[in-house]
Amino acid sequence: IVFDVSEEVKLPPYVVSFVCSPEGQQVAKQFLEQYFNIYDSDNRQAIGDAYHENAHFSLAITLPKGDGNHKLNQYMPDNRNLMRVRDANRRMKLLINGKENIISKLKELPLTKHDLASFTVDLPIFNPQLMFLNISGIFIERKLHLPTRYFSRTFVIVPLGGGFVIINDLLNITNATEKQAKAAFTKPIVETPVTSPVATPVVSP
Amino acid sequence: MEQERRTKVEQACRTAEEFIKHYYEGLDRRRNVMSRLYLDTATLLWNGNGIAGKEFIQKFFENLPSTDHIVSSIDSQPLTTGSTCHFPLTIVVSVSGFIAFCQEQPQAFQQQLLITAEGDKWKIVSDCFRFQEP
Repeated sequence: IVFDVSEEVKLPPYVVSFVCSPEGQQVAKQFLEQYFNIYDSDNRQAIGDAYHENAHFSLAITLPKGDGNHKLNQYMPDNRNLMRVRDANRRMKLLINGKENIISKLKELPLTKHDLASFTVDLPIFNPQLMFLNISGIFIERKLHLPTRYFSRTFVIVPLGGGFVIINDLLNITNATEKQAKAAFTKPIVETPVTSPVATPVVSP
Repeated sequence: MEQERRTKVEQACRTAEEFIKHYYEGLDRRRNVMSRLYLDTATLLWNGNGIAGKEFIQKFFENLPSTDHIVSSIDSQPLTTGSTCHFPLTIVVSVSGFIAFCQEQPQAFQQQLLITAEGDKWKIVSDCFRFQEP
């Protein structure tokens, strides 16, 4: 006879995208297409237009569990993981400030190709003051033979002069799982119609 | 100006580290107090499921199987647009790590938080959680 204490792991379903409003969906979609079009090109110079004069950018690396040969070394000098970087001066230095400095840093990072079909898009806030956009997905370094990568990226975006600019950009890079690497660049991009019923926050489950 | 930025950056780092500690300790060991970390009007997106309002967020967490988190990376930035900052005392935090449900196999997750000062307390405006692999 045993005790009835075991729990059944039942989780809410996995939903690929959450966008809080149809306008937000339109803006986010356009922004992401334009941004990654430039980011994945041979010259990232024009990416500067997407950033506020005083924007911040930083990069953090998550080492995959139990994988000694992660090959993330080329990102390590920029890794601002606060759990590893304890020194206040170093934390300041690794937080890239200002449009020009961000352009230089992004141009230093390896050339990429992102799998837009793998993207998850979460837009919990879209209002006249601020847009909080969180995306994740798969990319590869185009000219290097390295493991397929998984990234998550957070943008805080504000309106400026009839358009929008990024004021915060936090990028987290790790390796894709085996399953993700296998599925990378195999799916066509599914266009989500903007007129589709857009979820408003609900209680779930 | 540069000194002011430095102060904000240091505050963002300190706040992120302490907040994250409270957050996962709360979620793993003291779920009943989770709603205190959120603004009344906060939103939680959990693997694409939207939950609005701190009472519903509290309920959501209470229905979630028990968890153990291991945090592997934290990064944080202050929201600032320079001389005219529209968002005083607001920070964005990006976390990655591993989550295990009911002592099962841990899996990788990423989480992003927008946190603001309400009076003398830091509160979550928006909380966005995702597994690396669905």
